[in-house]
Amino acid sequence: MNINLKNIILLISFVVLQIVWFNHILIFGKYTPIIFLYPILMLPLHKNETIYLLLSFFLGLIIDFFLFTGGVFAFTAIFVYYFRKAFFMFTKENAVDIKNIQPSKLDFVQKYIYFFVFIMLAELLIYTLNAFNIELVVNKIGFILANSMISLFFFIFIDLIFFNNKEQ
Amino acid sequence: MLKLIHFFVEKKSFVLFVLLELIALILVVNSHNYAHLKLYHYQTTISGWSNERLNVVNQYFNLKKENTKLLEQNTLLLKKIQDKASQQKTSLIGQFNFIPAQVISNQYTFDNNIILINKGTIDSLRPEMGVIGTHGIVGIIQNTAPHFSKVISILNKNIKINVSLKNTNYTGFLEWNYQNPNKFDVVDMPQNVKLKIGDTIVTSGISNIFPKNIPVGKITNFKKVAGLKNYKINIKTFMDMRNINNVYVVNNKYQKEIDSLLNKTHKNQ
Repeated sequence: MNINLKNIILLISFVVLQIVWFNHILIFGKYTPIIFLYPILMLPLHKNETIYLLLSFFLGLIIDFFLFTGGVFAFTAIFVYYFRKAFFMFTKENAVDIKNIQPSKLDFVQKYIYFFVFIMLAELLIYTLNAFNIELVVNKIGFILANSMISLFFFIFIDLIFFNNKEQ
Repeated sequence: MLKLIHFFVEKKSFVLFVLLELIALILVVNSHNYAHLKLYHYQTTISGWSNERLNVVNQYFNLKKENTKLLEQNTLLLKKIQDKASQQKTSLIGQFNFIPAQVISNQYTFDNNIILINKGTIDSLRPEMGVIGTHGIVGIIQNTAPHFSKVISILNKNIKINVSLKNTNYTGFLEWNYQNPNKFDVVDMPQNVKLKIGDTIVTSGISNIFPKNIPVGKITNFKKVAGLKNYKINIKTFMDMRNINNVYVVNNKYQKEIDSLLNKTHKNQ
């Protein structure tokens, strides 16, 4: 299957899963995992940026529509998509290395650190934009960290079970 | 000009990124403005319609739990009928009636949580009507569409509800403490009231949105606020906000009369 089409189907499927199932589950009575970011984090770094930026924005907007959150998820989705490059600037020495990176082919530790950094950033953004009050977000740091860990668990589970780099 | 065009072509993904982030930010700011925009009316309709269909599966799995809750509720209602019969009648008896509705979407993880219910303007629902559940208050209607309504949950930083200590006229405001969906604070309760842990907090009835004496929760802790002659009370609500299915919208029959009287008073001042 065409790689682009495969990525687009994955993006849409994860957003549907988030809306239909993950938005309605509560782990330990209070944590809701955010999984729609998984395919965004796995997108290639320098290919079809315009299409993926627009797609991330509209899919984020669909989640916002169901949660009455304005544009919180749309903002977060494109922020995560665009700032992935910055993460690799810290880990790779030159621009050629960065251009060749495929997030799906990172090694185990690097991939999960990459996941955690962006899940944590996304959760912080979601709660900050939703609360519009820094004090409330500071009070909820523990909750945000725990929610990020639970989301990370789902990312690892999805990654190991469904996307374990068979083509490598 | 050519340089500018060249810049936009060269950095098109950056320009698009900034533009989309700006649009998203404008939408976020607008969503915090609780004006009754036409956009929210359509959003309530579409989101309500789709959430109602998604909710069918959840309702099926919760049938047993819901039956138990309905039985409990019936018992409570029967008790209330008996209590009412033994009370002296007042001229305002029947001031409130209740419109049953079902929750089709319930948020509890953010600071501005929203609930969607499956009744709207067709069922005579209008903004600022109270919503109560099996074990206490749930929220206040924010806006309505023909078949659905959006309710500001009590788990929302923009809501403060007037409550009182049961069997007294001492009132305070109920606020969510943002930590746990069942833990709330009651602020501005005067210090001359005698409190003890386990006392019940009920609705005060002052706002005319909720009837008087609807149970809210039990006191778990309280302390005097330094510098003010008030208590800050921690309560645990009777209503589990994570598990709401059947609710009742409170219709105050005299609301229009009260509103027009208050408007006249404001104009005269």
